[in-house]
Amino acid sequence: MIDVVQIRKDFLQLESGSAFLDSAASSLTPTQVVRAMDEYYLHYRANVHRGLYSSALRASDAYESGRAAVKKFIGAEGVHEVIFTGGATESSNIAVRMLEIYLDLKAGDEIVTTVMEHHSSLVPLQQLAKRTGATLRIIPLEQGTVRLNIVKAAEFITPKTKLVSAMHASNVTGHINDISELALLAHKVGAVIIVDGTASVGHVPISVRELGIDMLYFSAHKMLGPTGMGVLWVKDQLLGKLEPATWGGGMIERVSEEAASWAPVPDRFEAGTKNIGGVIGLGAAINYLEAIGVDNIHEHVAGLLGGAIKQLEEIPGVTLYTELDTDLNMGNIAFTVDGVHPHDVAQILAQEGVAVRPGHHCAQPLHKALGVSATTRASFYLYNTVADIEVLVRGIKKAQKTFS
Amino acid sequence: MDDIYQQNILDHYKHPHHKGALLVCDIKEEGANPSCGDELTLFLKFDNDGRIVDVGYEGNGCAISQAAMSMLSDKITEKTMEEAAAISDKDMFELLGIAIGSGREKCALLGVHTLQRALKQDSLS
Repeated sequence: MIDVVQIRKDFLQLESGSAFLDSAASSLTPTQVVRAMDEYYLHYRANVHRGLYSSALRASDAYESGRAAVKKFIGAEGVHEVIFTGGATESSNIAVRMLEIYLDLKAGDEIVTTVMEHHSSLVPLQQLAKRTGATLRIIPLEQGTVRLNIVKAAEFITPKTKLVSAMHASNVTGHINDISELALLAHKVGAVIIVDGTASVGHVPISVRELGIDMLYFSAHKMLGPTGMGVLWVKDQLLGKLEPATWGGGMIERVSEEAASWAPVPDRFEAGTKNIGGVIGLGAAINYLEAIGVDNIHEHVAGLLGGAIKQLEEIPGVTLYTELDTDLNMGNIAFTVDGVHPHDVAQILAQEGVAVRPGHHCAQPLHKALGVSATTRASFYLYNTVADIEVLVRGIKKAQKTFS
Repeated sequence: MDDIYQQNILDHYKHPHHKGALLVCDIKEEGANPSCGDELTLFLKFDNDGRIVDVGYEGNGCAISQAAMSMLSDKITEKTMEEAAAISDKDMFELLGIAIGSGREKCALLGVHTLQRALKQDSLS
């Protein structure tokens, strides 16, 4: 059990009284995270790994503490496996670029991904396939569910497969995929597996070692941290084999007029000055989440989901596109209301003081598979309460009345 | 927040004017709202004097985009190509007669932007 009343005091934005059910788009930020970033910007602003003066040393320490916090948080083996980026989308693009060279993909090779993917994962893979001539295969849903068809996954992942890419949890339905199973399938044929943890990290416990994956990426802003800040984790055994995908200052060992050699990992993969304040904010967010316990947060969210699913299912005309087993749902309920377009549902909910998101949530292929062009999504996190569900339900009924 | 779901908006949404494809048309133009996935196909038919004699559209969208297209279809019927092309974003907001927030501008303007593109394309051909 977590103390939500106490937790809510750390999120000043909640004082507005609105029901914030849009954490899957971007979570709120607790005072502790903002203060940690303030402290850096106001009191020890300096670049990292360069200066010898005290604020520069302190900034470098704080930056590397952020890396250590991430390492522990995701169960990585070494701090050098943690690369900082500008967000999950940048991580995904960098990962694909690095693997493109390493895997030396060509016609006849196959890349396997899922129909659930966020566009930030899918589109770089489509471009990769286009550049290399490799074939992109998409694991479909199990008919009538929001889960992956694991039989098809086993069928699609063959010795031709060089790369498997899957999201840990869906940013639409909340469903948590069986990544361990996909990792086993990928490794059995010698393929590399990348996992998009953007929806899940900070929402459900995660251990890259337990999942047995090769790469993981996520954004800080969906787990109480700042925007413009992301992580790309690469397993040690793979990391040393990869060439950098971005070049510049900080990532070199030696540069002559004609050529350059690379610094050791992870610096090799962090060209230019990174989002130092963002790393510090991410570190503070991790500290905040760990003090409460991600497992406790998921338990709290699962409790809310259970109540919300039950109440929404009772409203005639409401269809849910969500994982109904709350243990397997990271915190999202996507839904439609008969006769009311998702945008109008969200607009009326906004008028009623409920923050949700309408649209395809950057997952158009998933929506097509679900047979809808758009949904409205309510997403839950540690600061939500049963009162938020009540206003949500009231708002949906108001929308139905307006359009009746 | 002002209530944008005024009766006339809801009437147009529930009973849209000119909705449906034209089997015979002079211009067919597709529009989309990438942020929400709404899609629109606009059909225009002209008489020999270049007046719009028939309008049709297909697609789905929110109450604002659908009502806007319905109102726009009434407005451009019997208009010349030049008159229809001159309809601005501001005219569209006035036609809707409600306060459109920044979050819904794309919804309100999907129809008129598709129309503008359709007529520009025709003048080029």
